[in-house]
Amino acid sequence: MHVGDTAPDVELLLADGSAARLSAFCTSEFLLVVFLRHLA
Amino acid sequence: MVAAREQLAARGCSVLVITQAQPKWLAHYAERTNWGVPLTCDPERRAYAAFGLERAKWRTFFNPRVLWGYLRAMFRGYRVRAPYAGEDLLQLGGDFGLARDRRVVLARPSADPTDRSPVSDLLAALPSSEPMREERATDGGAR
Repeated sequence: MHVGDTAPDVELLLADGSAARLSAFCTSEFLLVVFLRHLA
Repeated sequence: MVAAREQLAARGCSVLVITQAQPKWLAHYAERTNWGVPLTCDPERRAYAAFGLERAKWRTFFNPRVLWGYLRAMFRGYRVRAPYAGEDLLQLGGDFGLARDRRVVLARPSADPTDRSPVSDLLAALPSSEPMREERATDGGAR
């Protein structure tokens, strides 16, 4: 993914197992998406 | 994390965390931490793949720069822990800034397991913008 590309509206899971689209979090001017390597 | 979140909010930027854990492990993790931002998971790592995030090679962990990165982090209090079941230790992370229409304005995929951009670099790379509404209301700038 490069600057200028449009990110796909991927499906993510919440802690309760329900699904949410990336676009649902794009509610402010910018969204910083932080991909963690692993939780621990 | 709170300070970083506030600095980002002052630039009109909210934060979303994506992990590769199973939802039950994310729930377990969320109970004992307080990131103050939405935590989500992608156990099949489709989002990781869609954003072009790669897997490290085992030998990467023996790279002196990576070893030094872990040592520095441990001196700052980071504790190396085993990943939750199902998490891929070799999966690399990264940081991406998206505009409201999901246009990528910032792309910082990690080159190795210790490669993360400091918040100051992420802030510098964000286009200029108005603070988030909550931030404006609390900094005395609300009309």
